[in-house]
Amino acid sequence: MTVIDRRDFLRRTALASAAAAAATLVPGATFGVEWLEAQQGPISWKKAPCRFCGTGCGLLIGISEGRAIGVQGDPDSPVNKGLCCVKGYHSVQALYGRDRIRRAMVRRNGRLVEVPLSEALDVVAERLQATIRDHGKDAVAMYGSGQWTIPDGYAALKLFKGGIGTNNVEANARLCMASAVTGFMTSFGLDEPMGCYEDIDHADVFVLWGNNMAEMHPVLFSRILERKRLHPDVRIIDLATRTTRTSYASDRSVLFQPQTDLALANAICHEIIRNHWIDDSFVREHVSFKKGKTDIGYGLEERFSFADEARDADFDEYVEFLDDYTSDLVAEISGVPADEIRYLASLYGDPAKNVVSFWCMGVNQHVRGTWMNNLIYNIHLLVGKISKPGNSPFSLTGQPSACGTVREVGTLTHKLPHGAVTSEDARKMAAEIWQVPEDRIPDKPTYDTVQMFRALDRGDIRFVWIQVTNPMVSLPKLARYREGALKEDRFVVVSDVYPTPTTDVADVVLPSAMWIEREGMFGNSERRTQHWEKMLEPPGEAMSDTWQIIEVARRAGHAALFPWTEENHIEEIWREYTRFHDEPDHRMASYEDLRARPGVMWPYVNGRETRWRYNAAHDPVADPDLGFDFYGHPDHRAWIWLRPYEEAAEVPDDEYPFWLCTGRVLEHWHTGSLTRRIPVLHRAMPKAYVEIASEDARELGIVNGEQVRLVTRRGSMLIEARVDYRGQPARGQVFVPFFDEALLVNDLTLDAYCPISKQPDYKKCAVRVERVGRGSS
Amino acid sequence: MPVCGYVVVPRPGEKERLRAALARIHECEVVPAENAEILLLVTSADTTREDERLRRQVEELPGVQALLLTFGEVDPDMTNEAGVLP
Amino acid sequence: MRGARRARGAGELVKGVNRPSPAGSLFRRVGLILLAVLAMIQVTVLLRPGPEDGDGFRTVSTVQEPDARLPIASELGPFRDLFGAFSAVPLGEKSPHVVVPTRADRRSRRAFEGAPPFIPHPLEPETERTQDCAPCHEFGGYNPLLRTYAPRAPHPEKTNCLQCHVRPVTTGIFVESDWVYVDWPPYGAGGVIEGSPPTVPHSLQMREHCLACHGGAAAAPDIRTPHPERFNCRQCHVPAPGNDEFVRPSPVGEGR
Repeated sequence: MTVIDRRDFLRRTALASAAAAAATLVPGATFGVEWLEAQQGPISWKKAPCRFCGTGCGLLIGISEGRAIGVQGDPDSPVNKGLCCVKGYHSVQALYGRDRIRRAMVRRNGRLVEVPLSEALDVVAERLQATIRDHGKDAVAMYGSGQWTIPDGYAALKLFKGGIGTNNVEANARLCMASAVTGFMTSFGLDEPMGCYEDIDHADVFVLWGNNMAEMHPVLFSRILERKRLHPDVRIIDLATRTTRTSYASDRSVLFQPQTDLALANAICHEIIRNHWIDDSFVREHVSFKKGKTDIGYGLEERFSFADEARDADFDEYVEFLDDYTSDLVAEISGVPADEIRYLASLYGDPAKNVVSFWCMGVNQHVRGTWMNNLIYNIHLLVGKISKPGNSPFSLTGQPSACGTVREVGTLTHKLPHGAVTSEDARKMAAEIWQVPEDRIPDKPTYDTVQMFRALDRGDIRFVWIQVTNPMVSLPKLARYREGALKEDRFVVVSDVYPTPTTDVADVVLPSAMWIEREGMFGNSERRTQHWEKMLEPPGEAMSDTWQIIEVARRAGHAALFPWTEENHIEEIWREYTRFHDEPDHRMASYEDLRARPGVMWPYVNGRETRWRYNAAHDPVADPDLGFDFYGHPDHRAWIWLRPYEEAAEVPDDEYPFWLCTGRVLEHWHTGSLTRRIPVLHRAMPKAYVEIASEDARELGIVNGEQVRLVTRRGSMLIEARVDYRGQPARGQVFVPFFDEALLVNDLTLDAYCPISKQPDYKKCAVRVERVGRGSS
Repeated sequence: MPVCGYVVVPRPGEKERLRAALARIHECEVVPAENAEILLLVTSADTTREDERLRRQVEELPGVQALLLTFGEVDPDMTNEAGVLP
Repeated sequence: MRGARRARGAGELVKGVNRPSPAGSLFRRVGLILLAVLAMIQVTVLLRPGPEDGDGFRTVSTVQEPDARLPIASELGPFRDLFGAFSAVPLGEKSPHVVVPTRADRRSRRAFEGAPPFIPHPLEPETERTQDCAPCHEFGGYNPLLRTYAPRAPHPEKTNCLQCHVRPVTTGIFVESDWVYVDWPPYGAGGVIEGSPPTVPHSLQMREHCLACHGGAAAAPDIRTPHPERFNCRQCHVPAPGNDEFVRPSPVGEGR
């Protein structure tokens, strides 16, 4: 379509409207204007999971004459049953931004110049080998994301761990999912949820822990609202630090002070025990008690390291531990009235109610994220409301394949597709499947994400290849890592579909084929793997991330690891990869099943999906004599952890009196590099802003729409204030969305993280709000 | 910038003369039907007042039997580039 | 008034008509529709089902049938609140500047045919949080403030409205798009043979309630049904045929 200005657009619309009306007056009238009467070729509708969040909605993509022309929700998808959100419906428009990267670029004399793709791949392979030669194999790294397809992540892992022999593979899912993983591992010994989305259709109470689902997981939230519409006694409780759409749609909105969710969860457990709402037999038979280290720090020190230690505890010790968390004491620190805490506990404690807890970044991006996950599991375990239809603690994911690729394939420094690098069995298995010497895979993890970029800044890492992610917008305390990436003798390769602040720091930019321009699989939050076929030709020389890795591997002497053709490599990768998961506790669907069905949930055993793990009535691995069998732990029990409340890494003070929370908005997904190229989404949310509580705004003399300055110990920014807009922060708190590359709030955030999961806390640091006055900018 | 779309029904036998008359008005774009006694008209004016005047001018042309408004857009708050809700 | 889209009705006659004209016949038709509506409102009272029985609070200890297996929406849709579509102000309402949206309006509010339309009117900041759209859109009707007919939501049971419908606050663009709007289903898709009832050229997902878009005052004239009194729409209008032709399987006993 040629560019037409607004008036031209209106004139064409007016003409089309007149023509349409004329056709009702005089059927069959023609006007000799080609575009008015153009007919469209046939449309085929093909299934694909949505490109955006971890919900994993099934879409039907309309393809006509080599172009995507529309989207419908897939009514056959058990995830969304035909409903999408505004991002999903418009997702195909993200393919057609005019500035798509179509050719490779190499930096020469400070400028990125277009070169043939094969030449750029040569440059990448040469530099990779040269860096290994000069600085060792741990000086090269790969940084991917939860938007990597499963074959992308698998190819990256195989090249780096099996070929080069370094554990330097990380993914941005460290920034969004790591606490969920360590939470699962510590409480159950196995990653990923026991329940599934179908729990929504059986629940009586939904407790949302710091989770604005109405905006961030709207399709699942609509499923909750549907449940409530059909069953008016259903209760939705929004536990949060600010008032949002979710609060308004909930039956109860409970606001707590940042970081005090730790105390709140313990107080709920205290009330459950005090009121004898505990499920005695479940706890006796299926639960053991553990305690770990306390006062564990915040990962702020250079080369920080931490390893937790599980020590045995018992029920009496646990009860004593909870004495510090009476409702009255916790009411004081959390700001949640004691009666409200008792009410929450009663909802969890009522044996006649099924309870689902949902959480996402509020709990996971938390300096005690692992602990918070443990604490929510504690509540469910105490009342035995777990692994049963409608009873489910459920950590949602933010990326389409954070589970499928990063967690299941294991594209993290400590992971292999099956097990951790520290396990000899896991290394042996990988070496056998990959047909590489066992000692190729190092037995020690290297850098988590924050440490990896610190290492790049220090020079311990000299070469990093970044695919499908935009760390120069999304890393906390960003300025340091941007400067690090720009240093002399650091080589940054970026594979992406659009120019971003990350391609701005690149030495080589590789054009990627996006989503339905190649074949692939994603795995969503509920263990569901979804396949899509290639539907469109990628623009220019764009190539899938998987094939880019294979091309570089072949140039760098690792051709033997990837003996596949362009036509069959996705299928062959799937067959090889699923050999890692060939046990009933993680068995995955065949390639053929994936192609035929709108997603399959693992463990997939004898043609059946496992909807509730650890429950012998549903899970073929669980021991029927036990009823519930938490087989991830050697004692076949789930672990209740004694996790205390500890303060946030940085707390507001006189100089920086406000809490700064960052996050997403409905219209934009993550750093906005895709959604901002979708016209309706950009028009609805053109730039970032700061939400300020109306009382605070009044006190500071700030009015809606005025520019204010936000200052933290890391940096400052000018940004527009919003008062009583979409979200309403509590007093003493402000909120800024992070999608806007022109307003980089991550220059202000702190890179403190959970010492167990190494996931940064983007939700809490101290900030000062300064009035600038109108008209200035 | 008001833009309006109309279907114009000419008096019998007046289609061609009316088309020519409309085409002479600068702000008018006219598309005759190829196979029916009917015209499509798009007017674009700079102001609402200008739009009213233009419509009266078209109404008063002798060849017009009926004028049907099918689309009208004054493009109001959409032009708020500041991105602030009205 | 704060900048609502202002436009005028397709049926609105700017200049008098001296003798029967196509436009005149349109008006006569509208009159007939109106009569039919008034006649049917009487019946509504008798036919409308009672308030839905809440099935109370129930606990689920074993796997029960999930909610999804409720009556099939696409079958139920056309009959939902049978005559509600006509509870809006009648079409004959004399108002000088009434927007009756056309197909072109529909197009200007969507990225593609079938996409959720964006919100073309200002939103109170509070509505951003409460999503209280139902008062205007649950049943539709004339909105004097915006001088237009509020369209009726074809899926009023969905209440997280802004999940799909967003409010543009600028006409600006981040990067130009090479997206192409393709008209589908082809406009004016008629019956399979001359004179047969047109087939349904679009998916019924969330559009089960035919009269929300095809009946009532807010319906675009070019897709408005001429016979809204016949509410069993899918008695005559079936989903658009695909390209498959019926081929009889091999007679019993023949194939392998």
